[in-house]
Amino acid sequence: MKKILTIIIVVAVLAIGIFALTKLGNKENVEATTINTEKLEGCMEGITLNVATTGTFAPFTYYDENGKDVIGFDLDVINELQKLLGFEIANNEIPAMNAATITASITEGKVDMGLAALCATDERKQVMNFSDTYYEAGLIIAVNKETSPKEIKSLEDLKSGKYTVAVETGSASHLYAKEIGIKEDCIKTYNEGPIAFTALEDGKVDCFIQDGPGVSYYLKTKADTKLAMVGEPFNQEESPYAIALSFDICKKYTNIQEVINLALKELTDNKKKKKIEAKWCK
Amino acid sequence: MLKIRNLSKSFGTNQVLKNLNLDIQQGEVVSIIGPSGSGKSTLLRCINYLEEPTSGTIEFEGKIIKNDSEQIKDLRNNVGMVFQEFNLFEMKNVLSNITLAPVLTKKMNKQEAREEANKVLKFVGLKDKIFEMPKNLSGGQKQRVAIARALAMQPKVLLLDEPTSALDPELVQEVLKVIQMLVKKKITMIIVTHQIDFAKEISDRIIFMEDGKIVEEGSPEEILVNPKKKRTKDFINSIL
Amino acid sequence: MNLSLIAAMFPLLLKGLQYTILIALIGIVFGFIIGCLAGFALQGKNKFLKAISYFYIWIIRGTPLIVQALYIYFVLPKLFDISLAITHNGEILVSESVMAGIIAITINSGAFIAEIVRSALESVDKGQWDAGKSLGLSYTQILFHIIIPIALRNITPALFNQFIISVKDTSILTIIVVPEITHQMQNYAITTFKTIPAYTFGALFYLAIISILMIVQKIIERKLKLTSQNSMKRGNSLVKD
Repeated sequence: MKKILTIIIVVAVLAIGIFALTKLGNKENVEATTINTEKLEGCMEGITLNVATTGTFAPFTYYDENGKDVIGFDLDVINELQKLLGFEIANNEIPAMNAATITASITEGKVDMGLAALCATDERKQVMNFSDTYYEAGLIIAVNKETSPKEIKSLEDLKSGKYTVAVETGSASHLYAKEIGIKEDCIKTYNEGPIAFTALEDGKVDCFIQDGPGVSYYLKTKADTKLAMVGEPFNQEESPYAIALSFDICKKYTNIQEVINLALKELTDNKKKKKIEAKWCK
Repeated sequence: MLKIRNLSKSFGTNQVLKNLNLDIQQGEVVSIIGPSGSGKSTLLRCINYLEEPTSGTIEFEGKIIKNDSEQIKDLRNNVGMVFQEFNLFEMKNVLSNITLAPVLTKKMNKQEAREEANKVLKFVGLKDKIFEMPKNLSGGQKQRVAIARALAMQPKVLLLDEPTSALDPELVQEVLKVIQMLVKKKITMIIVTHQIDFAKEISDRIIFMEDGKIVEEGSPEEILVNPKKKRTKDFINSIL
Repeated sequence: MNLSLIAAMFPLLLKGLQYTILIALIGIVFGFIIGCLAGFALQGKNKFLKAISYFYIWIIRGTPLIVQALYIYFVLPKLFDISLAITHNGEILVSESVMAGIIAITINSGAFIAEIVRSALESVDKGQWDAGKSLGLSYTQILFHIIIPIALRNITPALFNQFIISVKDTSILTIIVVPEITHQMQNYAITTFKTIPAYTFGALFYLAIISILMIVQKIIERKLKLTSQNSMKRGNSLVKD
């Protein structure tokens, strides 16, 4: 009797699991509205958004000296957008999560809007929407001047399979590295950028592919760093930073993408964006 | 053979033995009786240094025993003990139980130990159980194996701490029979027991203990039939 | 539709499983050795050894495994100026990550096994000590010939339990880039954006593995009970016929 009961329970659990696998991805229907864009200013008043960032990518989103607040280019942009458009940020809080988690959260609709030096790559566009580019970046290779093999000079060298390449899990570099055919065993995925930087400083990997601005900032600000950049920035076409918007929020507010784009253009026109750039990306 | 002088033992603030004096001659069979908590077991455990005396001396064969591991090991090679709860080694069969100590303490080599084991098992009547595991033995059989185990060390003195108290009544006799055979072999024994009739039968001397002191001692007749002290009388009356 | 996900993920998870089991197994074997040493020290009379064991157990139980793993991966090599990796003729046999993972699981399980061993020794009936002493055996002789065989038998269920715990603990090691099951699952999820299906399948995979281990545990326990019930002829005998 007990054996039969056990088998029934096991089968039930497996069945639920498989059911979950197949049934996922179907979301309930949301009521769609359109934002009134007669006047851009304050047009999103009364709308609450879940906004997230990563805090792992200076100078766009990173923790300040006390380690308590996340600051950076992206945070200032959110601020300006909020001032202009008038939307509420849920819980008045912008949670920070690592690249993998924020991508997943936006995909699943848990986060409505993400600003975290996110590259609007083709793969990501399949699962989320992006605003217009607000910053042109590119990927770059960082090496350790003391421990990295001298032969690493460009992206081509990495395809040989002889070197270990660190990337941040879920970042554009991660996806790009896989795309151009760097061997699986050679790609070391670190949960967060800062950990990968430390690993390279310790010589645990041969090189690190990361967004250009992030590496520049690191090299400029990290005292006694052993790291340096090699080669030219690459993959610029796939590395424009844009604001990510979940499919769900776009279904709810059918023209939110348009509104955000108009707002970004406004920030460019009134020179506010230039100020932010000057502040963070000298 | 065994001289105990001014023996006191305290556990924390509780004094269990109070200035005991006792002499045991070779070949004597001495029974110790008394109420629970009178210190009988503690006295026995001091003799083979399972408990360290708080004060007083124990002299064995002319030597005063000091708290020295070599001396204590020597003492225990010559003073064997049988416990109320048998304490057979659970994971070893009967043969191993008996031969473990003789071989490890270098008293005998493996061959000698095996022969001695056969001898003592024959003596207690359990030769056929030689490879049995303790858990498959009855209480009486376990205790007889325990006696055999103690005997295998060829002790000069055997201490028996309530050897039948943990046995079902119908199993008590087989153990008492073995003890009687030991008496016939003239092995020096000190027995703590509640079996008064048996004590009367086998003992040269009976000691009555109460409250950590020896109240009265004498021949079985003196103690059991004509006790001098009132407390002895009361105790005897209470258990008969 | 999601059948293709299962087909794609399964070989990746199997690859991860190799690392998961390898690290958990090596970890528990060496953890057992360390745990026994620490457990004996805790039970024994040498005050210095006892103190060291207490300290070790206090540190390990007082810090999360993820912190221990990061520490071993980043700080340990710097402290002793060594590389954790094992290389031979320029080929990396064991990467720094995997080695750090093995060390982390070893040290971690060892601390908990020490407690298991200590309490097993403690739970052995004191009468066994009395009997051994009364026969003139030394402390060490009693410990090794009488007490430890009893204690060892008692700890098998707890030990296997710890093994299962260690298998699940390996999932933490993804943070130091050990390519075990969780790491494979995360990377697959993030590069295909199929988070929920991938994590669900990963969870079911773990469930299946652990369930198999639990069945193995039951079988082993049953086998142990059987051997103890049989009369052992000439087993444990010091004297050969």
